[in-house]
Amino acid sequence: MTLKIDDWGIKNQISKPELVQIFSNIVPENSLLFDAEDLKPYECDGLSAYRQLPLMVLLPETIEQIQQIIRVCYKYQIAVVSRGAGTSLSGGALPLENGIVLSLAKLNKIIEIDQDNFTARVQPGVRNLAISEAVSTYGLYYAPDPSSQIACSIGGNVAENAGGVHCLKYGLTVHNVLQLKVITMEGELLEIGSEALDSPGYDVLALMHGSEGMLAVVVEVLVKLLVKPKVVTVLMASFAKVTTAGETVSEIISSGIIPAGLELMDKSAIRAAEDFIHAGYPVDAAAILLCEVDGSQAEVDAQVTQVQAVLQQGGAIDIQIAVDEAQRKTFWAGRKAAFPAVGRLSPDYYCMDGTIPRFQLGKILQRVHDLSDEYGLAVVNVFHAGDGNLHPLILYDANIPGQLDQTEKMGGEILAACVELGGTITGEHGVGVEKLDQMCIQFNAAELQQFLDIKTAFDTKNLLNPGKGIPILHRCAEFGALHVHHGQLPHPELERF
Amino acid sequence: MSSPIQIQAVDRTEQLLSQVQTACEKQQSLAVQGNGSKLFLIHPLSGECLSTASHQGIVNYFPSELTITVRSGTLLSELKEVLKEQGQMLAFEPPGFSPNATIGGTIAAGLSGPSRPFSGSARDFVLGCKIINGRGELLQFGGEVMKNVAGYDLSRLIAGSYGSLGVILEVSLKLLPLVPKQQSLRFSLQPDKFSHQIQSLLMSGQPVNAACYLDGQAYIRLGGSEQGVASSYQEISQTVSVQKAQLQDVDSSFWSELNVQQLPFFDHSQPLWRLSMPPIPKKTGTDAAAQFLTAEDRQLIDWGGALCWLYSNQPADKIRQYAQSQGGHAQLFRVNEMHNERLNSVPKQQPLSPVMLKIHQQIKSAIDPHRILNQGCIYPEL
Repeated sequence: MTLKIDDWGIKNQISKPELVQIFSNIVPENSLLFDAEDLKPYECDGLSAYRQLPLMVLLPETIEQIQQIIRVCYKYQIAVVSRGAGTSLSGGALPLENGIVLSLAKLNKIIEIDQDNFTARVQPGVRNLAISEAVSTYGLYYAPDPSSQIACSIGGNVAENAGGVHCLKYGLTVHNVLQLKVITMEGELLEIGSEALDSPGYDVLALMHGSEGMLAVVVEVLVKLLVKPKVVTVLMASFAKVTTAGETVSEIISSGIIPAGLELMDKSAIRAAEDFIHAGYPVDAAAILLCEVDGSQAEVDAQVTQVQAVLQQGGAIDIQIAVDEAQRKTFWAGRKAAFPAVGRLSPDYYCMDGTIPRFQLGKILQRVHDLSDEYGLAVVNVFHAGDGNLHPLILYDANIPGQLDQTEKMGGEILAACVELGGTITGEHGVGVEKLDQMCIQFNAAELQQFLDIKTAFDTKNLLNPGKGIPILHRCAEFGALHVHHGQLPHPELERF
Repeated sequence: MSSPIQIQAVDRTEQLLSQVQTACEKQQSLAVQGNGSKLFLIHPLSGECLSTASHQGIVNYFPSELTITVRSGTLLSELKEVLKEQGQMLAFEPPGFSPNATIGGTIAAGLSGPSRPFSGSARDFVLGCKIINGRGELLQFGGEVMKNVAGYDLSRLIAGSYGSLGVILEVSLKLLPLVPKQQSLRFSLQPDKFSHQIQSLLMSGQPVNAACYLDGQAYIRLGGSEQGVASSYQEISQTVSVQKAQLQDVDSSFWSELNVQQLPFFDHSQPLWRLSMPPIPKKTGTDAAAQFLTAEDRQLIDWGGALCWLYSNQPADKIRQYAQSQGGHAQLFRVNEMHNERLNSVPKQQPLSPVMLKIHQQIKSAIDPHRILNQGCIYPEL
């Protein structure tokens, strides 16, 4: 286990029994957990390789309770880790030993659906998919659709700026949220954004997205809804070489089409998914592309013809168009089940989230392949091809001593390669505790210090999810990757926590 | 084939950096701007002028990636031409307001054109930026990829901050392919029916990518494939004839004139207000708009009902209260200096709540601790 949470110098100013006493006056008995046995389910999130029991878990039911809890934490210097559904893949909701976990799971109501203005006002614990289900009768849906959408909560989606398979055309969470209500670490309720399309002042709404629970606690979200397209269809193209499939992705986009979804799976991913779901995938192909187009019947007909031509020119060996809605869903089911399908191949797998400019696809696949040989660890590639977001899954066995360490090291090398090729270490899963070292590769000391200053602007005592997202400079120096110019740290007068 | 447009590449990073560092040491204000084409949107700047206008050129452009990285002084008009050659565009349709508008100023002002409700805003298309902060440090955030959640999203925060959170040196933007076919039309309609009409067109799947209302006429632009637009035009034509109105074609130049405020509607000397509000107000039993508007007021509705351009002599407070009561805000967009001395002291943007102002001040301090960059250009406290 290589987990290292930085000590941000937080010292609780109160004992656990005293704190339990105070909180029991704020929330009902069943909303306050402090026995080890009760805390166990909260010891990790979707990145289960890392585990830590929190001091206690609170499950408030109202905004007022959250404000009171936060004020107590502020007064006694208790770290607060907000948690939605706990599906983070980067350890963003990993508890801290001396901190509380603030679960927003009980705030799970859809407050209002505004059919006229295509919006829904929801509490943070509402599941992503539940929004689309609730507005479906009005012919509307909520566009961002991370693979975990059946379970993940909208508050967590904001914290991570979640994407999904349709974000090339319809955007990320940040593009689909109009307003947030948040509680600051001083316990103040802040409305960010509005029901209108813009707001005066700085774009704090954008800043909140992807801030991993480090700037404020999201307590309400006003999401934008879209009209369900009249017609949706998906094309599945098989390729003899994975790089040909990758190049064809660029060709589709260069031809002026923005597909609703454009996904690539390599041979191992195809086979794993086919064994699991029986989606009718061509198991002999080196790669498949799934390309979804939507719009009016006339629009879809025009685009299908165009995409088909590009796929053929790109060297697709077979092209299938879903004949009906059932087949479309089956084609997607294989992709959506790729992760659990891979789970059947190997005792454990480690999901990476690097993003690269698409034209570097060939190079990154080669690099991943070489690393796989070097480390002796198999890799399965699924890939949001349209937006260059890779999800290589490294297969390992946690019961073999040292293999997790090797896996993490290999993962770190993949991410470093993404940065080298002009990309980023994380497209949609967040930094959490997982990619803190790689942040030192992507950003220099002044940039990291700027992030830390932004954090302090919202949270002067650094109590919100401390130790996540942004590495302290000392850590980068130890990791050996801090870009220090002429041996000078920026702002030597500042304390380094 | 015509020769590709060449944009001269001039890298002024060192000079700009040195100017900010000197100002930082002396704690002297800088008036950060491009060519100043949108200075009318902010309060007067003080201090030495720092212009990014000569920092020009395309740093990276890979059409197949749908991204471009460009230096801030590059002219918006030239950038649009380069993109057009490759069949691409800035989908947020930024208004330039002047032939010398730069892309840096465009992002700093964060303005978006008629396609905004349907395609997204300026900040929606920002992927990354390179800035100099108020400490005189060269910083790079975001990147040239569509998805990036490493670190806080400072790139999008910079959009619309009018140079007060850093001197923009480069921006990376998401691009979209040019819409293959666009067709614009108009028909007569009651004013209170406009927003509902647009929502119902969207519900029926029509590819609307601009919608405004002026002088009893609804103007709509459709965009998509040739076949898609043709079939949509037919459907709308039938719907509208049921309403006993007649569809008339509109030249596409209508939208660009609307965008840069060159339509005859904008030929007024009264103060011009920009009210950003939800398209369809909550049902309160009374028609708030009818109660608010006076006989002298003139308005043009854009963004399918979400934006109101209003020429009005009503007191600023009254206009702001109205916008706020509707769930939005009001910005004093243009003032004719000769006739409106009383408005010079009125804040351009809607005042922030005390809690929000405090957060703004703390963000400003985190990036520009000595407040040397465009001090007070949005609010006096920043």
